[in-house]
Amino acid sequence: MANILLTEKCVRACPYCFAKEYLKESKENMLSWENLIYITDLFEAANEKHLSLLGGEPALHPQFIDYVLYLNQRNFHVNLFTSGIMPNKQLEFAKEYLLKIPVENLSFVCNYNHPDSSTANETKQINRFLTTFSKYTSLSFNLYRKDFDFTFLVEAILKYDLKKHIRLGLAHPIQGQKNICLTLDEIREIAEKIRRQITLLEENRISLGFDCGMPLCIFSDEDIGRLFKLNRGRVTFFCTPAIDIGPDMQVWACFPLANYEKKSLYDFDNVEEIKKYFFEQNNKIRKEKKGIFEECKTCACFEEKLCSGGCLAHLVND
Amino acid sequence: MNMEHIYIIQDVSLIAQLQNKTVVVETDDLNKIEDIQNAVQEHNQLFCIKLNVNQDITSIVFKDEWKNIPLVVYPTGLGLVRDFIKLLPLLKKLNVKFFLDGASAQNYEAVQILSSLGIYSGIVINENANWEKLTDMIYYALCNRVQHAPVEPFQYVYDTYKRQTLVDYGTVFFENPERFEYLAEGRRQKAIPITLFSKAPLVADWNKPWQRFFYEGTECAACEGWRICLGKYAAMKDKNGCRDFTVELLDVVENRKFKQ
Repeated sequence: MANILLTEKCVRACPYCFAKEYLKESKENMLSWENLIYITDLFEAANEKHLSLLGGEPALHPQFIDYVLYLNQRNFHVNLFTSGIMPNKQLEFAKEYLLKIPVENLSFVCNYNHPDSSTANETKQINRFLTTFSKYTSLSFNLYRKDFDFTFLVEAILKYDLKKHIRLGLAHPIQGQKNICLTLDEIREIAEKIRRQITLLEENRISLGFDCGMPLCIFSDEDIGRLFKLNRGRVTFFCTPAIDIGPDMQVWACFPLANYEKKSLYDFDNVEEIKKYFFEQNNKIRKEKKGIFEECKTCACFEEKLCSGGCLAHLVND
Repeated sequence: MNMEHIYIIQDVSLIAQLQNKTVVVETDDLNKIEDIQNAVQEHNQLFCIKLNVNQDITSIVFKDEWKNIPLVVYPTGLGLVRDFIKLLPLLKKLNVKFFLDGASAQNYEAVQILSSLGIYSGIVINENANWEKLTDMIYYALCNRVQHAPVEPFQYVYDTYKRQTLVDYGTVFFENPERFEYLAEGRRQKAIPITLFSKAPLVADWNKPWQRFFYEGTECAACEGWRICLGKYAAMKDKNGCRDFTVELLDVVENRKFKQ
């Protein structure tokens, strides 16, 4: 699955944003039709029929609705990462056109910050979005501080009747920049906090998916068993290059590594080549540095590829 | 090459002058489509209706009843993709091609959208064409990784190209005098390729107007892209664009057809 950045503009300025460096440096590029069609053809040729659209805020792209409809016509499943903050007019168009798409073909992942960190107007817009697209939407939350609580997420899921799933990301360090993210010691500590949240999720039958970079060893076997049950067997601590494609057709492994290695999409003939290239790049770092913790060097889970040993961004930022 | 001769008429009442002929009827009136088909089919065969409309595809009201009528539509543009997608199920039932003006940059992306969604389309190449975009379009039309609907005139050049022969892609746009004859009240006229508008010609064979380029020893006659261009853009002062485009098109076709 690849992530396509429709635009580099964003409506928010999240303190942890691991995309910040990339978004700051870039101009106000917008993905063109020609580039979208090129990417679509590339992935169709690889028989990969799932694409994620993100930004910045993808809904700020003036043609984001057309792009979603187009991809859908090409039989792609589209996953759209959004803050849910979009101009009224855009939301009305989205409502008119996107609600006709079956839920099997379209999903939204709403990056949901605590309402206290949003303005009243932003909260109003997010709520309106969640109300409109409830059956398509699951929530995503990025951990960047030790003190967190999933209660507000669970409340939103129940209030708006959203998909019963939370995508949990870790804010990662950005090469050459100081963003707010968890230190290695703090990563070890969050397991205890997550454990307490699991009970809340179990009570409400809400699954919890980890974004990449979550190390397995911070959890006890009991925790992993509970997560296994909660997620109907889908628990992963392994990371493979996500493949992010910018509006300027640059491609990189994932946001935290955006400054580490970028290539032009035109350097590759097919999707397999892209994956192979970034997989090999990642492997080089992994071979040399293993994982983020000292114990990764001798860890059986790392050796057996049950765990990637955390996010590479910690390693390239040493 | 002997090709079937096709008559182009703008006034459907002239159809009475023809018997057992293949006919293109040119119109700008959407309301006449079914009547044209009925009139032509009485004693002749309809090649297509050439529909010149001063509107976007999405603002044309297409009808289910047109599904057996070959239509070549010259719209001004695509319109909003979201509206086009609503039209798509109906368009897929029809026998319709859309030819868009190559002078508009937006039409290049429109043609890619149409073609990638399975709709036969084309770019009308004239002296105001965006040569760079046209050159990019060669690769989209002929070297794509995935299947899409044909894009003219690239597909025509590819399909008909043979070494040592000329290819007139004006055929796609009803401009090849060897193939098309315009019939108007009281007179007949061969299709006039845009070549002839550029200079008063004195040609040996009215069917082969390109011959004058050799009599006159023009720049076009020495161009590598001549075999598919036939001097269509002779009036342009700067011929770098058309030369690069036609040479590249020839090169791609040659490689795809004979060297792969």
